[in-house]
Order: sequence, then C-alpha cells, then structure tokens
Amino acid sequence: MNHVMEADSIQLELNGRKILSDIHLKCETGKITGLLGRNGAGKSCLMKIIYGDLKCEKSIRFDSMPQYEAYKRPDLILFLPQFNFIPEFLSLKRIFKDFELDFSHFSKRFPEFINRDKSSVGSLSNGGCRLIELYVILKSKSHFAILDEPFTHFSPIQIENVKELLIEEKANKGLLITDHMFMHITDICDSLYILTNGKIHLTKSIEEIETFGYARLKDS
Amino acid sequence: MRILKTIRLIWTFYRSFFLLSLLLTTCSLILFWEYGLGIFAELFWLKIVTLVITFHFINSNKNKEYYYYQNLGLSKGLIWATSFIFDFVLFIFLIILIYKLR
Repeated sequence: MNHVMEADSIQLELNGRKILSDIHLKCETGKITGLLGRNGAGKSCLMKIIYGDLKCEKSIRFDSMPQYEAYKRPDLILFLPQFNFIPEFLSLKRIFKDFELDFSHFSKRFPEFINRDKSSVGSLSNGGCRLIELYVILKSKSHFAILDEPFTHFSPIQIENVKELLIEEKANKGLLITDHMFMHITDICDSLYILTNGKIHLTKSIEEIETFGYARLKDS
Repeated sequence: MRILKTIRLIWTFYRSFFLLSLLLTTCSLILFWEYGLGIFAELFWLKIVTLVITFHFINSNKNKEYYYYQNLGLSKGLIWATSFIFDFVLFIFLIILIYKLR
C-alpha cells in the first residue's frame, strides 16, 4: 500500500527571525525526496518539525491524518539526526536487538563488521558508527524515514554502498533526505525540493539548483 | 515482550545516572541511620534538588541520545518520568527499611 506524508502551513520564527513560512512538502513511499538548502536555511528545523520534535504552527499529515507528534509513532516515521545518537556504550548486538534486526544480514552485506557484534558503537570509526545508525533506521519497519546528512563521515566507496542501500530501501518506505553532498542526492532522488528564504520550491529540473543559488553545477 | 523491551531501554537510560544517584542515596541512608527522623526533611529536599540537577545535566549533555529512545517508541517524558519515579520510590523504600531496622 502506498503512503503519503504531507507538511504545510508551517510558520517558524526563531529570535524574531522568520525561518520557515511557505512550505508544502510531500513525501511518498517508494520514493526518495531530496531537500537542499544553504546552511541556516531551515532544513534540519523542517525535519524536526515534521518529526514533531520542534514545536510550531504546522500541519503534518500521514495518509491525510494529522499527526503533530510523529516521534511517538516509530511505525510511521523514524529520524536519523545529523549527529551520532546511539549511546556509545551499547554493543552492536544490543542495538540490533533493540531495533529487532538481524546482525548477520548486516555483516553479510558489510563484511568489515563480521565478528564485531560484541563491539560497542563508541569503539567504531565515525563512518562505522554512522553506517550502523543509518542501517538500523533504514531497515526498521516504518512508513517513512527522515535522514539528515546521511552521507557524512563516509568514504566515496561507502557512499556508493549507502546509495545502493537507500535505493533498495525505498521499495519499503518513503525517504526524506538532506545532505550538502547534493550530487549524491540528485543521483538517487525522485523529487527534489530547495529551501531558500524560508520558502520551499519543488524543482522541475536540476538547473534550478543553480537558479535558486544553492550551488554552481558547472564546478561540481 | 514489548514491556520487557521498554524496561530494558529505560534501564539503559537510567544507567547513565544510576551510580551517582545510588551514591547519594547511600549517603542519605547513613545520615538517616545516624540522626533518624529529625533529618528526613533535609534528606528529602536534597534528593529532590539532586534529581533536578541530574535532569539538567543529562538534558544538556546527553540530549542527542533521546533520538535513540524516540526511534524505538519511547518519548523523553516517559523515560524521565519512569526513571525518576523508580529512583524516588527506591529512595523512600530504603529510608523506611532503615527506619524499621533502627
């Protein structure tokens, strides 16, 4: 069954400065939705608003049903923040148990983790830690996942593996992704939004990235 | 199974300040053993104040970890409320136990 998540009527002001005002964002299962914007444009704020972690005037709907505190419904949506969020002392075995996932499937796909199930997540490299976090969010049962900078800390080879994983997993959920490595986002996304001056624009062509002043395509 | 998982997750969170709390409770019990009911009010408020300080400390230093629990269906309110209630009930229970033993 196809599921739809919509966000609109969002008004966010921080310290008297209007951050978000004209938002309409739609995310569907089976699709990857990209979100780009300069630093401070409000991407992370928008993601936290959708997740329900940042309170403001808003309308967030899952299959037309309003949901103001989506974080209380991990069956609906999961969130990968831009920082490491797993307690450092937890072992990989314990993390996979908590998320009800099979570690052997993971280590089969990423052989560098074979026999590391007893290691704590804090003992891993930044890339290793990020991979664990991304994997558990992507593979857990949920209609949607919000991924804030999922490519951070990864080497180019790992990024290719992660992109494969994202494409594979979009069959099971809708993904909303933001990252400054925008070429990787444009490679895999089905629809792309640009956030600028508090307003969101659904792009019709890749050239609009340059039109909206986010990046110079010829240099990338 | 769901309840066991919830308890396991709350215990994981509570572990982050359990030892500090246990140390304070032990000190309180020793003082209560020495001075009896006369010092109960002071110990009670000391416990409340340290719980508030713990909340502020964890909230500013470990707030990123809330996403772990939220992604597993446990809100900040639930993990804090359960941890505090358990911690406080344990404190009161041990105080009553010491009172009976004295």
